[in-house]
Amino acid sequence: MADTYILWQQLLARSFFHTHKGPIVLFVDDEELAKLFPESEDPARGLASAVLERVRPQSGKSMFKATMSALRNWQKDTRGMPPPILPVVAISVLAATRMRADSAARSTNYYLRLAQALLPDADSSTTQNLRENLSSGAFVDVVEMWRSLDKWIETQQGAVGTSTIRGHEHLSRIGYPLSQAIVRHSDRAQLTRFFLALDFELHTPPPSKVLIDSLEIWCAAKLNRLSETFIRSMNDPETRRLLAEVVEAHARAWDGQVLTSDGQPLINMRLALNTEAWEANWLFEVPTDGPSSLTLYTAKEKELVLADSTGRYYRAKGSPEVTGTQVREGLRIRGHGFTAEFHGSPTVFFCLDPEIGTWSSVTGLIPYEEHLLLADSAYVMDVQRVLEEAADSGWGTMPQRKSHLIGGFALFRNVRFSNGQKLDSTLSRFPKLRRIGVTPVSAPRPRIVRGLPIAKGISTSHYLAGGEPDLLLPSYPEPRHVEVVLDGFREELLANGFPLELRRFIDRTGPHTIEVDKTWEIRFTTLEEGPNPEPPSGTASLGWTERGTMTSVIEDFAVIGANVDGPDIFTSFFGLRGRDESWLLFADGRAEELTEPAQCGHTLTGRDIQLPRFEVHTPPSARWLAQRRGRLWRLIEIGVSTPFECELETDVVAAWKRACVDSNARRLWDLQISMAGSGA
Amino acid sequence: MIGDLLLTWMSETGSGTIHGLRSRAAWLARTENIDLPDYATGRWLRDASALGHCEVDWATGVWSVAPPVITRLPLADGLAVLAGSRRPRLLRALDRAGIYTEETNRAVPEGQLATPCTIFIPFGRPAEIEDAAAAANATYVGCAAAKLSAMLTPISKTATSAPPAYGSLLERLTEFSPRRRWKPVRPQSGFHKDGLFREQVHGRWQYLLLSQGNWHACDLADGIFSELARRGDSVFRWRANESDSARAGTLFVDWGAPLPPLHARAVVLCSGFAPRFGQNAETSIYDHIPHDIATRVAHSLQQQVQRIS
Repeated sequence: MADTYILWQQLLARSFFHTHKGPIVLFVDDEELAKLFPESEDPARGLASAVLERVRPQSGKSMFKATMSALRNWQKDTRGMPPPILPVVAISVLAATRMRADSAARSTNYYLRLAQALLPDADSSTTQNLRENLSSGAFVDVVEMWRSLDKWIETQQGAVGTSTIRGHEHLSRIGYPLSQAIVRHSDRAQLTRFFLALDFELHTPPPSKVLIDSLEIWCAAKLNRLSETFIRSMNDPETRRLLAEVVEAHARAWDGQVLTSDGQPLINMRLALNTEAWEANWLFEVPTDGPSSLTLYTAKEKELVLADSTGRYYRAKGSPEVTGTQVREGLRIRGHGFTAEFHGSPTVFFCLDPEIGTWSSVTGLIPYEEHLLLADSAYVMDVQRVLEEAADSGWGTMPQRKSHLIGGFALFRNVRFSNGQKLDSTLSRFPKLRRIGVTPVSAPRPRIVRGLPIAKGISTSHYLAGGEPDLLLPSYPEPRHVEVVLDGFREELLANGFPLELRRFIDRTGPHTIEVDKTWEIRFTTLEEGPNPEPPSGTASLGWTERGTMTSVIEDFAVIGANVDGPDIFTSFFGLRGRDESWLLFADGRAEELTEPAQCGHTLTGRDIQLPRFEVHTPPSARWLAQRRGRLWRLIEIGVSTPFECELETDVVAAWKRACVDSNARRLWDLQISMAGSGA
Repeated sequence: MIGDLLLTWMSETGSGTIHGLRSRAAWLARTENIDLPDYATGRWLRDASALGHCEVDWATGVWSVAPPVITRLPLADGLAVLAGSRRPRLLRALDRAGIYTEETNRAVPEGQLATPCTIFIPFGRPAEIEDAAAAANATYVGCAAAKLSAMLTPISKTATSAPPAYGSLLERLTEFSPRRRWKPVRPQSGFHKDGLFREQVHGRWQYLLLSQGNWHACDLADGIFSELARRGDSVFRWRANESDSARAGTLFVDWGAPLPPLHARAVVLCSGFAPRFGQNAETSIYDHIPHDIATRVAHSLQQQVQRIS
């Protein structure tokens, strides 16, 4: 017989406590039991029978004595396997998943559901009797079983995953099974998307209250669907805190992978539009730590090969053609180990994607960014009205070429929204458009974005003074007011998906604090410069070769910025302004009179700079610059690194001419300038 | 202000992606209510590169700030400018060393982003400027404009390339001056006249020169000047300064023929300012250019400099 206690213990151990990373959730509802035990007609009844092999409802408060005894023995042993209480805790979860309000019980009447699960065929008085025994003390043993299981998972140090078993402050006993019953498979997948949106450091999530408040905002968007049970628990003040603890446990155990509803890691799909080539195709994002290549299978079992994970997107071979239905309703392509998914929508926004040089889809409207907007023909009139009233001028419909780029869709170009209030008031008249995504991307918690971050190697919260980041307030699909306290100054602001540009308000460097709705706190610091005096990494990492080719090979740099290899070939010389006459003396005795050029200091700088010298472009054969004021000549040697200078009263122009043709005159020249130099 | 802030941030960051920098520049402009066309941030980056502040690899989409240097302007009577990384600590060091500097901003035309201010360092003797560089932990590099103009290699055809793909989006350059105009052509048509073409590959334009039946891959600037040379067209004009005609003048280059980065740097570092734009004649205007340097830059692009008055 399969439905014995030990077989159930083994089956549950295999199904939930195998080697894996991530959270363990002992979620057992009727549907899940059917999957675990497909050959059984009524697996819930089978589980109850197995449990009743060890549990004696007629024994009142000590009904779990036999199971507790087995637990004590297990505790004395090596404890290599899970504690022998799995069928009991599993049925306690099954009861929690059946807590729906009906004529017989309030939704919180957990013990009645447990009694019904344990004795499915009992009459009403037996069931009531069991319920009373359970609630008046018997269930304490089950609580101990849960604690033992939690402890055992902890001692496995992550080998079988991370425990999400949590107690509850008020519902201290039934909190344990409830903690496992409120997060379904589909919720777990959605939570991984939420964690990605929340953008926290792995294994160090924000506190549980912040998580649950952020989650409430996040799941207000149509795209972010959580199960009814989950939403009910979130809205119920009794269970909200427990749910927050459980979500926090999931967040702590999250490995950074986003899962699809079938539990497989997600490969996010985007739609790319090339308006020049008039083409549409699918893009497959490389997930964090994703494989270098993989194969997926389209609906018609055709192979889709994704290869080359070096960029942001895989290179796809065999990608399906883009159809209007897929864009509208979504597309899922499964493989072994991964599922690629595109969330369909009747309206899709696109931004320029630097990775591919064309447009790729984004999850919603991004304030101030230029978009292409693809709109289902059923919504075109409304979309046009919104654009007319709320978008920046310059938008227009994209003329269709030979054929529609996406059948049944119109395409709008140069779509940009810069006025949040105008968009809010327009969309308030088109709530349908809001629901299908014509709204700024919602943020589950306040975040700081953009800005000019510095010292990124050592901090993620330091910004250059003047480059303070924008504040993105947590926003529901509908705009709402939030309280913001910036460095002690309180303001009530409208959160509508448009960022608050903090650099308009901050005028001092140092630490800054933002508090939002008394729930979230963000801290960042502004600095005049980074603390490290060494050049930041990446400085001087590009240059040009001698042949004028851009390179990153430092040894080949011949030019980097204004630093150019080689000697200073532009030989020039500086003469003093305000002289009576100035001459260049050449090697062959020739002399050329210089005219003092006009001041260029003002022309160049626009400032009243009087430069005391003027620059002369000197031919290679020039030897001396001779300048006279009154009777005194100033002579400066040209073409040497340390020019000789002297002053003398001789007519140097004539003397140099003689010195170049007569050896005695040359000796006299040398003597004169030597004496003048030594006297200088 | 924005230009200076961006350069300081680049100097504090070292390197990054072009997309990241351009989106930050657009964001900064928006927060100061400056309405910018999309190309303005790209132009700013080209100007910053021409000013010697950074290197930009458009092919791979990354930039890197250049080390700080002081470079002498040619025939400028003892004016040097600061180029490259501009961390606040460098400016403080110059100040502490008692080095006189003059910061100058040019008026910013509508629809443009201000380039970083030009920091002039007047000097009497070369030794003074070397001392200033040492005080700021920068390098004195002599006259970068002249050195660059001397090392520019003549443009030449690159290795032969495959013809454009059948069915690809292909356009032929039909006009240069003052702006470029491209006309679609059919790649499958076997016969094309020599000229410059652009083909869209994975959403990006790639440039191809067709010369005597052979296709050559090239970048836009090289392609344009090769095509100009083939046609015998000139886009360089130089006018001597009225007050100082022997030394420097103003260089005008048509908008349709953007200078390659090193050529632009050679002329921009003659004045320390990015080019002005002549709206009427649709030309880029470079100030204080010695005729020698204008000629060298033009020759390396197979161009002749027309003297105008």
